[in-house]
Amino acid sequence: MPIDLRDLARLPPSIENMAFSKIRVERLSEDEVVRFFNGLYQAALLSHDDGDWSRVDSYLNEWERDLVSRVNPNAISFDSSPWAAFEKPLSEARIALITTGGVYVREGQEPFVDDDPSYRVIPSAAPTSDLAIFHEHYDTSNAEKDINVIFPIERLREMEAEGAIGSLAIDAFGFMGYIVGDNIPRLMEETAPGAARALRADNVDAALVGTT
Amino acid sequence: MVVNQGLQQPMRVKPPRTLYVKHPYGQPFGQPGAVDQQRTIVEDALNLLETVTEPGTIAHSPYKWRREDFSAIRRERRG
Repeated sequence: MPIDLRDLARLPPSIENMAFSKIRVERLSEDEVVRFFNGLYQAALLSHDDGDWSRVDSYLNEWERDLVSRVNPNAISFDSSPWAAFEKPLSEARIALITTGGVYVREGQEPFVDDDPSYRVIPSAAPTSDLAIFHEHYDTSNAEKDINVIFPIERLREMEAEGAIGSLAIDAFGFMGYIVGDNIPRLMEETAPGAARALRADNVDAALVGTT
Repeated sequence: MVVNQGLQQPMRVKPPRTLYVKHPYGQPFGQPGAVDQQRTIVEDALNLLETVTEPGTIAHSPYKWRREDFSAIRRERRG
């Protein structure tokens, strides 16, 4: 059976060959796939010669930047970073976990839908077996095997038990990161500030945000 | 602080503190069942709270996605 060139880079089912998951090649024409692999080959040869493999990293990042702007030309950007100095030791800090990976509680919560700016409140003590995922824009197969790869709540519980962090917030927050168009302002003006108010009400010092 | 598998997003959005990990999308904290790897990434991200002084800093995680001895890293951290 002839190999479709695009199969080489499509999101694969196993982690064994996920090197190109950052390149959403299913959206590319065959000509572009050829261009991508030729460029990658060239970068790899040069890097092999001089030992500077950051060239390959930069090459993949350039493609990613180009593809992200193509997929979502209205992607949000900011000129500066918000800042709050962090002045207490981690061992006294109250930490919340936030994910954009589409995590929700299987029983009693609505699954996300595509382009969904709402969030789910996930009790930090919820057993991981109670959690489910909806997200159609990344390969969820490893997160289905072990949700800690996107939502490391068990690692944070261990750190709380060992005293490495002061405490874990009562709740974690699940968002679904694929949000476009009119739902971006809804996220920024309504739902995300709602989550921020809940964190503040729980006296959270910092949030760990895992993006997918 | 944010753990991100790409550079473009944090460069655009500018979270106060970002840990950039060279992982495939869909597993910012490591591989399934890899407790030591997940814990290392979580610790590295949380430590940015105490170390980063410049808003918008993107720290690059030094670890390989696979073939990294995370149990040795954890042992060393425990002393």
